Amino acid sequence: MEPARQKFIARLILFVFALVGAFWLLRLDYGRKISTNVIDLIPVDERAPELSLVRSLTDQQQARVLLLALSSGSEAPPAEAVSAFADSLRRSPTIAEVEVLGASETRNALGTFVFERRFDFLLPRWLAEKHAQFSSTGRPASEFSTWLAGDTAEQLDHFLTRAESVAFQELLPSDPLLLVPSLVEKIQSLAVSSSGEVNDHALVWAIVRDSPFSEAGQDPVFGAIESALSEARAIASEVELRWTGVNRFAAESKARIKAEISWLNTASLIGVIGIACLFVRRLWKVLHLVPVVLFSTLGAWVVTTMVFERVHILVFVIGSLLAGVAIDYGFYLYMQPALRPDEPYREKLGRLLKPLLTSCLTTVIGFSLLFWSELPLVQQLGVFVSAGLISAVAVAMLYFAQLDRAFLETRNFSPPSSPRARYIVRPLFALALIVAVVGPWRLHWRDDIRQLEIPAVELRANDAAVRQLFGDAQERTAYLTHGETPALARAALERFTTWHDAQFPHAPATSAGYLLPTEAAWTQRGTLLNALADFPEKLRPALDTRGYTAESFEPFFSAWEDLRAAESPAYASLFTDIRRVLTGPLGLLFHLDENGGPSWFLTLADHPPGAEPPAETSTFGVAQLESLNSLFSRYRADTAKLSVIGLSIIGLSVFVLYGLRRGVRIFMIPAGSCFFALGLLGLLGQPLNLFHLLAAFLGVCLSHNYAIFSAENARRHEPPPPSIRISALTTGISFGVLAFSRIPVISALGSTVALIVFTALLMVELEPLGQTSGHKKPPAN
Amino acid sequence: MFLRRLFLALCFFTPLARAADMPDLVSPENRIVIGENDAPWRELAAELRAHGNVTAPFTENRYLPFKKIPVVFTGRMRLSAEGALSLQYESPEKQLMLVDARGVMLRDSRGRTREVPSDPRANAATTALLHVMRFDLDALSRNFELYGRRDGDTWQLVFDPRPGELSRVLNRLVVTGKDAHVKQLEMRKSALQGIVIVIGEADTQVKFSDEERREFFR
Repeated sequence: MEPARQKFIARLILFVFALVGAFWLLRLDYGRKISTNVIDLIPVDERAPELSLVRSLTDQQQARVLLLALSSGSEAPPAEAVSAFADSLRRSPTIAEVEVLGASETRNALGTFVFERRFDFLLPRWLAEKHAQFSSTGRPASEFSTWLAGDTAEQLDHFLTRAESVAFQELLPSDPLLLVPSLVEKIQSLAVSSSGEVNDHALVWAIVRDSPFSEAGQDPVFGAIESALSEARAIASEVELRWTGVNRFAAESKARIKAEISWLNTASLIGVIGIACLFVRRLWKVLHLVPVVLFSTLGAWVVTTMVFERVHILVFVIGSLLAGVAIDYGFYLYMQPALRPDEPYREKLGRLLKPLLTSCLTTVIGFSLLFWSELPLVQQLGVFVSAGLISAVAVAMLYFAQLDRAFLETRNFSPPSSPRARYIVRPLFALALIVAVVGPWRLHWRDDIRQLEIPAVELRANDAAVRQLFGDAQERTAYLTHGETPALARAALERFTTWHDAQFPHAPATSAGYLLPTEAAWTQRGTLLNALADFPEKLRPALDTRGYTAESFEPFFSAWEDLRAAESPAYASLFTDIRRVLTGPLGLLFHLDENGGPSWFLTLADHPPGAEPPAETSTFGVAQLESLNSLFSRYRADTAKLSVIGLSIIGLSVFVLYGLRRGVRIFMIPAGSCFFALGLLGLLGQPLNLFHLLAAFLGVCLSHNYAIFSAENARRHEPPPPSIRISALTTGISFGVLAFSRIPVISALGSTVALIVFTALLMVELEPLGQTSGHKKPPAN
Repeated sequence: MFLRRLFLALCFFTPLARAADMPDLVSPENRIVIGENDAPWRELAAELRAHGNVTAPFTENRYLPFKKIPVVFTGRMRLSAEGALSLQYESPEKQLMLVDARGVMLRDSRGRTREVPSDPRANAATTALLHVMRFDLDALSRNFELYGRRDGDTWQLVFDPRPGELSRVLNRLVVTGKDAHVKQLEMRKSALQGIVIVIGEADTQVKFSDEERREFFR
């Protein structure tokens, strides 16, 4: 092909690629496409139902809660100021629900509902329990009324000997069965945590309408809160606000990640330029490598955003390191001198094609395997890097095809060759071998989802202080009970309660689900009511005998007669009723699908996590963080498996392409560097996570390039080409800078890759010195 | 049977009946007006506060409109110099009720602790009780009409709630004492409903051990 035509075609392809890529990226809605939500790292269709529920609970429910505490010096602010604050929030389109905790209207509404509907919601369970107790006495069924009347009066007596009975005195004439006091006792701790009972604060609970991880769930919400505070201050100027919400953390995290990317890239760029200044004779010519990196990144972005509906921001943070790998092909192609002054580009490319394609395609095969990971982040990273590498190699070949003289001259800093060098090099290799063999056995893993974010110390302290005001300080265990239908979920809750109260007798569980009867108890209610037709007649004398004035309980007797005369509502109608009345924080404690679909109840218990509930209770402990951490452990194991398969394929392809002897040498460099790096981390006691694993994989692919690129020179007993040195140093510095990131996983990634790359470079550089024959001559520049 | 009930009713209704017969005390001449005629009562308040930590046995009679006889509780009360009141019930059930600036806390015989959720009316009553324990006349006068009378070394104070949340749970609070000791607290909701706490011989200037503080306060 004519050089002019070759240039034209190369430029045309690059132009079309840039145009199509830019068009695709410009039409994207980045707010929807890119996620900053940690929960998005978990697959939507996570196979473990409990983790799927935790994901939904964390993302859809709890993450939207705002906790706002208003104060006025050392006192609670005036009620008018609190109302103005809450009303302002209610008017904001960004807020879906607002509740002033401890407000008597809400509590009165709930109290009135429970009292008025006590025979629908509470009586079925009471009757079922009493009937079970009666049945265990072995007395004839005809005596049920008499037995129940005596037991009711006895229980009333017992209740009145308790200190807190004074609070229910007015209620008892209407409720001698103690339905409401029993419920209050059972759900006491739920009431305390949502009562807003801090004397010097007024507590406001709210739910934001949009996801706290989206733009709509952040700045507009912050504006609404500011506006509400201004309205409160118009009434009482000294009102102060402390508040917390996931959107504060999300906004802060986003801002910090942006700042982090900015300074990391700047530091990385300075490092790369420094290396280039040191090694390259004509610095401006380095600019020819920039298009390779840019097109590679463009290709990675386009393919990833095409393949995935939603991409996590961490993919781009980690993926920006792709530049370190992509530039390798540019360096290799650009720094190889022509064999003769008139060697055409196509000829030069032809002799470099094998190592170039071998290096690229084996790495792509390795990363492509990550697409089969369960973890979206790993899948996305696999696609991002694979697409980026293919783009990089293609663009490098095309870009240098349209240059008149595609050669970058370098300064030679080859280590001096001396026969005595091997006396230093060999012990060094032996030491490295010991580290690589012994160290990995001392590795231990710690998977912590919090390492994905920059620790926001002040926000965390504020969050803890506000949550303490809302009563979240005490140590509690949360359980989630689920079922295919609301009725099945409630039945499971009953089984779980029985198990839990036997397991933790001093810390009974509390659930909003206790307000709802089981379907079995509901069905039994009608039968038992018929059997208790004469219950009022039996109860009157029983009360009288125990010193009560039976006529004082006329409100109860009247309600009982009304109940027997009324038609029973459908069981499913109870779900609608309970959802209507349990709003605010209590509304987050259950999910009842009105169409009869999957439902769940959250149960709280005042004890540290202990025994796990048996499977038949359909319940699991919701230590959310631990659940997500264990999920990450599982994904780490999956990724490790895929990485091993990927590396085996890379190794196998090298043996096929280069034969056994050269294959061993090529494979030893990435494998040895990786084991040495992991061994060193193990000996230093550094706990590893999923991201160390990904870093090791990336590091192996990079060092694999150096091994292949130096293979040809090694065969000729020549020192490695200078492109490897520059490439490894720039990559090592780029990743080394990441070791200073405040995001723990990025720091882990950077330090691991840098360690592997520098080790691989040392192996490539020192290996010829350690050999008995040494190398012949440095390659021509 | 009838005679026994009548006897019990007479015995237990006596305190409430006596408190009900107090129109002569609740009269303009016995009214305490802060800054005008409160000096003798401030002296008494100062003497009571000077007791420091106090412990005493008590008997609490709860009068209920639907029960012919009161429910009787006995136990030991502890009043800290900081103004927290701890009622350690011994019978009919062992339990603890603590009233302090943070609200009301209950602890049963198994050591299970529960905080009583706040309620504006309950808060008003709790705060009033704390003010009474501290004999904070200024604070009390904001929520109550105050009446008092001395008769030799005995004295009686009546607190009638002003209209508001408090008046919905409490009709009248009567404190009876001898010298610088409180002998009886009576919280009345209606003629047939109220609580009378009779306080026995009190120990003053008691030093609560750390263990006692942990067990009976917070």
